[in-house]
Amino acid sequence: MKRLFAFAGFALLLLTAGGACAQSLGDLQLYENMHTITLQERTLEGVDEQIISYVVQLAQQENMIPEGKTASDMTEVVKAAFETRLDDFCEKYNGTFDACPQTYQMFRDWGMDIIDTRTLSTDLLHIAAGYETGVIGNMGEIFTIAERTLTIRNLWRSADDALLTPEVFPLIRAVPRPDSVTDGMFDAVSEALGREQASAGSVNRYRYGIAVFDREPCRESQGPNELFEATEARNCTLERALTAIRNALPQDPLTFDPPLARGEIVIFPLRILETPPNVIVWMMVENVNSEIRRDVGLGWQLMLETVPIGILGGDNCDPGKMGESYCTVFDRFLIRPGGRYEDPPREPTEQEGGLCHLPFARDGYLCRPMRHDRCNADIEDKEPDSIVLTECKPAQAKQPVALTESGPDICRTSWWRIPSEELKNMSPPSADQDGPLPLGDCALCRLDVRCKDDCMDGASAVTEPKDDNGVIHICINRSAPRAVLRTNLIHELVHTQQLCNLPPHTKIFDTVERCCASEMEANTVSCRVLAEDGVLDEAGVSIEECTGGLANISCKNYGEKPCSDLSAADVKDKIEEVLNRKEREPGSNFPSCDEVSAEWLKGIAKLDARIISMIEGLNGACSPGCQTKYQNTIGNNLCYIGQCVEQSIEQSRVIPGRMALNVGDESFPWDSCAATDSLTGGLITLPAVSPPLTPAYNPRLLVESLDRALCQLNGLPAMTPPILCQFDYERRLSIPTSDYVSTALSFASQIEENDTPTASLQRMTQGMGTRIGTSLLTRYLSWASMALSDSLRAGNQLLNAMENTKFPLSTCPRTATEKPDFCTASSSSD
Amino acid sequence: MISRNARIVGLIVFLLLAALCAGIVANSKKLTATSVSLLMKREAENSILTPCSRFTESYMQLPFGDTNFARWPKLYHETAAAVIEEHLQSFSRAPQCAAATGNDVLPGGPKLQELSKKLPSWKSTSVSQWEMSSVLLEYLRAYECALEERLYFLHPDAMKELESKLEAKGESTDILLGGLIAEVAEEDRIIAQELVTARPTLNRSLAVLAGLSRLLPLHTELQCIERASIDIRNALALGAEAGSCLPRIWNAKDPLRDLPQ
Repeated sequence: MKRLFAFAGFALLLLTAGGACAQSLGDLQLYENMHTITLQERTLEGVDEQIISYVVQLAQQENMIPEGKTASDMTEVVKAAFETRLDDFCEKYNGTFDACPQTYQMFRDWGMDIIDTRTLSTDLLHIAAGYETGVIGNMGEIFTIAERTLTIRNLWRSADDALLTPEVFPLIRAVPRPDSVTDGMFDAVSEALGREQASAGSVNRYRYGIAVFDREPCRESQGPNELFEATEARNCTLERALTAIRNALPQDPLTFDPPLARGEIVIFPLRILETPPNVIVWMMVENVNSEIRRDVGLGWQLMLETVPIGILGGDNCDPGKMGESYCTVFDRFLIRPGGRYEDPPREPTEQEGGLCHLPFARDGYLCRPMRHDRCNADIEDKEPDSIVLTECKPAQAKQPVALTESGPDICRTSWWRIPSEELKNMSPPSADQDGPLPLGDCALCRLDVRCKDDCMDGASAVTEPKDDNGVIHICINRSAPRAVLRTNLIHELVHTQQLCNLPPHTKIFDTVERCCASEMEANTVSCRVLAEDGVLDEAGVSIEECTGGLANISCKNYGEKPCSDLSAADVKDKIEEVLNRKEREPGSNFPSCDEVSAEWLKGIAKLDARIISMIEGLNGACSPGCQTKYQNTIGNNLCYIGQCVEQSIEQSRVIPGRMALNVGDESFPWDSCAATDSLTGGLITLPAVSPPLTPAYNPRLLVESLDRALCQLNGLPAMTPPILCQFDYERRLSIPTSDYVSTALSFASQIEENDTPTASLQRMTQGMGTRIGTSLLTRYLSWASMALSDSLRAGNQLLNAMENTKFPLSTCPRTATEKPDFCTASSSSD
Repeated sequence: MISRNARIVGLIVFLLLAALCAGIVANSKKLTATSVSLLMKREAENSILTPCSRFTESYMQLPFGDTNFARWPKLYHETAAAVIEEHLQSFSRAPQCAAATGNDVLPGGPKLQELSKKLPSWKSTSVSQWEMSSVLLEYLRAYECALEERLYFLHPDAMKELESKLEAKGESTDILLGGLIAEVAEEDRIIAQELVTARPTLNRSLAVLAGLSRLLPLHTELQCIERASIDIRNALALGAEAGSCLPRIWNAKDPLRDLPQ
């Protein structure tokens, strides 16, 4: 046996996930940006031209531009006011100091007001960026939580896990960047972004990729650099640069190894641009119903480049929406008093994936519909006065859901295996070949798939019992709808796997119990595939209904609803209706049975790459001399080990026998020497998964501490209520000084006297609050991570127990007549 | 002749002095380095409630000296900016997954460590990257204290500053009133501006970082889980390698079964 450790896929996924980590973040200058904003806000230092224009135009609206002065003259006047040059201001404004200081202050106040509004929007956007970064599913952000979660899931998963998972997760794979995508292409993107004034708007604009713009030809638009308008503007140079990258991405599912499965997404390593800083380019390819969709887009590592609100110019004002007076100012003076956001840019439509367009966002709870395979959605309100929000029904199965000859047949579906090259490269099975699949002698059966005009009783697909040559024949009806070909083939392949290890002519549908078990198992697989395609969602059928309902139909010879309590009446019709509709949709590309036979690998890949894996799975995974290939994941390794153990126990004796010399001799005398099962796994208690508790917050204690601090600051003992500790503004009135003047001066300076403890309290409170908050978070996390650490500890114990397994040192003698010594020796050693 | 009252007062004063001396002698052992270190320890434990004068032992290592006032804002903002930039870079720093305590999983970066050692709360303890906000807020408090203190003693301090400036230029250190007034006005303007802008600047920065930092523990844990998962996968891959021999092991030991050719 030769196994392939397919490190590449996951190493590359790690590479992608760590793409942002491998390179240091660019100089984000968070603090410097905030310092600049604060200086502008508090001191009007370094104010930009937009604010100056706004104040000039506001002055025009208020008729405050002196005669003989133009708007451009006023620019210097406003600048002088902002730079606190009062003398200069008055000289330039009207050459007189009469009422000039008031105008000077008014201009400054207008500037302060609009900066306040703009700063507020910037602050809110910054806070939103802080809270949303890493959790909204964008690619390439400084927190690689989504990528790492995906990596961990991929490290643990086996492809067969899907059969036991109630949710349909998008299948995502990472592969290296193709050579066709060159560095020069990214330089072109940098250049196109650099050329545009509002690069922040462009990054926002193309954050969902460029595919959404395919239907609308690009037209350059020039607009003010403001939030939402800038993000609506299109940059054709940038779009061309991104399209060049997109065109260089592979568009054939067979380019990938293993071939890209339907619904699977490939992401390529992110590219962090040198300029502008903090911007990344993402690339992805997706197999949507055998059609390859490619997309390229932009994103932020950390979105700090907020685009300000609009305060100048813009499109026509709608009086109905904005009001008559507002629109008068808007149209005549081209300003938007108080600033204004335009309508947000269009998100991708539902057909384009909506918010779920990006792969990581698609994994989020908003984008992942709940499937009701555990819990039926139809609630029967038994009590007229009760309100039932949800209800779990008892298990619907009336018969066993699977039967095996011996052992659990772990991972039998074999989606976890990668087909061998021989199987993939073989010629299409010809009509005269008898059971050509799989190749070699590693399987206990061979498979023969034929397309026929009619299978048994008009069925769309039928699997016959194994014949004397070990061949299992599958008949696919040519007249069956093309859309069901894949599901039928997968369904029949499960029956083939059920039959493979059984003796020839064994029937698996001969009793109600066997029929239901066989059909339920096969339906679990085929219904899962339908769910992944979205067919079940569209039909309004849960996986559970599909599994049980279709089993009832298959085993209808044994009565009504023999396998499941669920009604099967319309399940099949609903599913077939959706499949027929999909087949009739323009652009649908469902191959026929003959087309798949003629174009073996491409045809199967169009159907589903897992079909080849299922055929490969007929080979024993652990048969000596046979090759098994799979991706190196924890789940796949466990599948392999499990199959090896099962194969050993089922096809070999763990404790060997001996050649009996006499008729009465015992063939297996050493069975009694078997060491006691250590039951290691059974003795480990896994922690109960309980929601983490929020640590005690005790807000009252915290407030009391603050009250005490307030009293201390004012030199008073703790008082009740604490407000009594506040500075007494009437103190000077009740204890006046010797003369009125000093009393008045003392009274006037009381504000400063009060300011000092207030400032001290503010400084102290923030520091204390941060420490208390950090302490609360630490306590919360230590509790929240307890269940995880306990689980890891249990896993560690199991691995240690495996490591400590002691094997006997001596082998069993071939022809022993006495009880051998090794028996007691091995017992004692155990 | 001394009156009786005066004698009584003299006696009382004498007794009080004697008692005071006796008290000092009796308690002389307590005024040792140990008691000073105890006081400092208590101050370090409750540093948030201590006065934060730049002349106290705890805050003397901060760069706010007597004669470098012109550089105070630059020194403060550069340090704060460097610590924040380092914090952002720490998101891509590999955690110490084998650390014994949560704080050691992501120890503070060099800039944070350097700053925290100058502040009483962290003088004798290590700092974790989680504590960045607390360190910066404490640094800001110390900066504001220094500014307030400077404002309180503005004229003498401005004179010292001016002298040092003239000395640095190699000019006479005789201070003219006009020069002093200009220096005082400039320092007053800087102090007012810094007192108005330093805290909102840090608050804005921390508002962004607070949102990000809440994910930092999760981000760190995921990195450790990922590495542990790779270890488990590799261990199981070795197990699978060994498992591939299972049927052959039994076949070889079983005399009743022929090996496949």
